[in-house]
Amino acid sequence: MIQVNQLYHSYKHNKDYAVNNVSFEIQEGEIFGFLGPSGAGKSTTQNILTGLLPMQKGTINVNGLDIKKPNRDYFNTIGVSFERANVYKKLTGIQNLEFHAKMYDVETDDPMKLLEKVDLADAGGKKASDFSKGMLQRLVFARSMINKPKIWFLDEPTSGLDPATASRIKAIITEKQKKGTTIFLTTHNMYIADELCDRVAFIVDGKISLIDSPRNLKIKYGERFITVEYIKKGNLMTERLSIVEQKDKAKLNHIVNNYDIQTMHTNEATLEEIFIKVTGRGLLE
Amino acid sequence: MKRFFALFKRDMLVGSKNYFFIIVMLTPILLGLLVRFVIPEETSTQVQVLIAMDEQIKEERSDLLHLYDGANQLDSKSAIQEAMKKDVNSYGIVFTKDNESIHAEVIFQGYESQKQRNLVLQSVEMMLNSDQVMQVDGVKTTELGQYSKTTIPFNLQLVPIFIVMEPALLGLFLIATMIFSEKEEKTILAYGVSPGKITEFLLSKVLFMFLLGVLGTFVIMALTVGIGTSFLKVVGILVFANLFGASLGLLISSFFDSISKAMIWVVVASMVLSFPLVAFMIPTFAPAWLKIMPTYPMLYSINEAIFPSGNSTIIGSSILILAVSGLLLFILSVVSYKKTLVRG
Ligand SMILES: Nc1ncnc2c1ncn2[C@@H]1O[C@H](COP(=O)(O)OP(=O)(O)OP(=O)(O)O)[C@@H](O)[C@H]1O
Ligand SMILES: [Mg+2]
Repeated sequence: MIQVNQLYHSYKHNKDYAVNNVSFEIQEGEIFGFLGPSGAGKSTTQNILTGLLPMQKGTINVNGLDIKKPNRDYFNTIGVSFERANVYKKLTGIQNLEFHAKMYDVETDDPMKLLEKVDLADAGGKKASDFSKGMLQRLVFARSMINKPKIWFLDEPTSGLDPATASRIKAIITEKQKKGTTIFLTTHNMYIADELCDRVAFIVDGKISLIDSPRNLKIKYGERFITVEYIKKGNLMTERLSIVEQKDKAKLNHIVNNYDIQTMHTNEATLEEIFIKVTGRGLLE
Repeated sequence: MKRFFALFKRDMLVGSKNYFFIIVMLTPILLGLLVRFVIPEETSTQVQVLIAMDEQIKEERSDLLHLYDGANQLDSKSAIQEAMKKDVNSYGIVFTKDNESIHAEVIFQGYESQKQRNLVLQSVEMMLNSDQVMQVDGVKTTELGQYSKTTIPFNLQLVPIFIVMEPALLGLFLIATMIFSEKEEKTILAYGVSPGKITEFLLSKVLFMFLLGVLGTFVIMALTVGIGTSFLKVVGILVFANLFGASLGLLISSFFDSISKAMIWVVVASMVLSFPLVAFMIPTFAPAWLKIMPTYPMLYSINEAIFPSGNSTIIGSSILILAVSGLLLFILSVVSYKKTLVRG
């Protein structure tokens, strides 16, 4: 469906690349995750894919068509949700959707139905300036699917949402996937990536270090961890240690020998731990 | 078309809630009322009287010399004309004598109202007749012909200026604030990933500015000179005047990522563009470089539309200048926005 080949982008037009030799392929109907810390180049990649940034170097193929200069047909088939809630604050929720719907040449969804879907039906008549941050984000999310996109770009769709709302959004994403939508999802939240994505790419400093399914990653890097709680100088301490790493094993040994152990559990590695292990970087820095 | 209509509707909804919109809408009312009730129909500046008299008259009618004590005495009619060109607030009287009659010729600048002229003429006649010794042969009037605003009351002369300030200069500010609200709220990005074209996006804003310009002009004219066929002519010029002003605002806004940086240049541009307004008010100040500014033909053509002097070619040529420069600026801003859509 989408093939990206040796994509580069520099905002300063020099060797300082925000996106550095990025290549990946997204299958039709797949949810492809872009996982990386802040400043990794996720939004930059999405902006190139959606035609907001010019293509400096590399190729992007969508359904076999080179989209160096995306045309109307392409924009009619994509939907884009932004990191920052960019709506007309002086218009109501429903006016925002109605306006955006009219921009398309293809059939669009009913604004009111979309608002109901994201639980904004009651607030639809209110000015967007009176919306809370989470409401604005749901509005942008709803707007991004108004043209029933075949390819859906989601930049941090659940960041800043409460758990209940976040799972509502996640449910909509899975539902869309079942209907055949191809989804490019950008996030620095490993749970979202783990839960939703068929495959994830780890991206740091503009470079992709690995692409695989969360399941495969866990099998491959899936060493087990031990969470140990112990008392040290009267304080309860918690430590999470690998049972494979030499350094961690030594530490565990030290704890067991010297302190009063309270509890001890084994768990699977999280995607974040795998991320740290592969890239040497955390997701939240 | 469906898309353009939606864009336009959005601009009206969003634009009319912009605080600048209120200023743009209140200004014409204020200007109209100003013209109507505050600015006098005539300006009362100190008028300088210039006289020239034959030597013979000076001897025979020394009383006349006394009567014109405060006047500036010059040698000849041509000297008076030269002096008048340097002082707009002056008129001249030339006294000549042949055989037994004294002739007086009053030279006006050309802008004086009939009321003003009558006053001057009456006083000259009175002075000549104060002594019956010599025959008096009436008073002749001529005009310097440097400018001829004839009998338009002073307050109404300002109407074309205010109309230029409305669509061209205020539109420049308003379109800039609208563009920056799109840039700062990043709504322009949502448009950027839709099938809509930048040209439609910008054109809809230009059209909105035009509509405001027409509305403002209607208010000003209704309060002052009245709405007649001249209004339609002015609207015809306004189409292009507005294209020029709004496109300039668009182009300037395209180079900056914040309104505060852009506003400096918007203000500078509007100040430079208002120089021709000064030339219009003070006809003695009209350097050639002023005339290349589009506000110059804009002003004179609107003036011609409201106060026809028979020189209607100025309307055509000014529409041409405004259309060409406006279109050029618009194309440049489309190119510029295509490049800078997501910057900043
Ligand atoms: N408009 C811009 N001009 C210049 N540099 C930029 C611009 N936008 C992003 N960058 C830089 O490019 C790099 C990648 O940024 P990008 O926004 O793609 O990261 P991201 O992965 O989306 O991060 P986040 O998780 O914070 O959204 C960063 O170093 C950033 O500072
Ligand atoms: Mg980002």
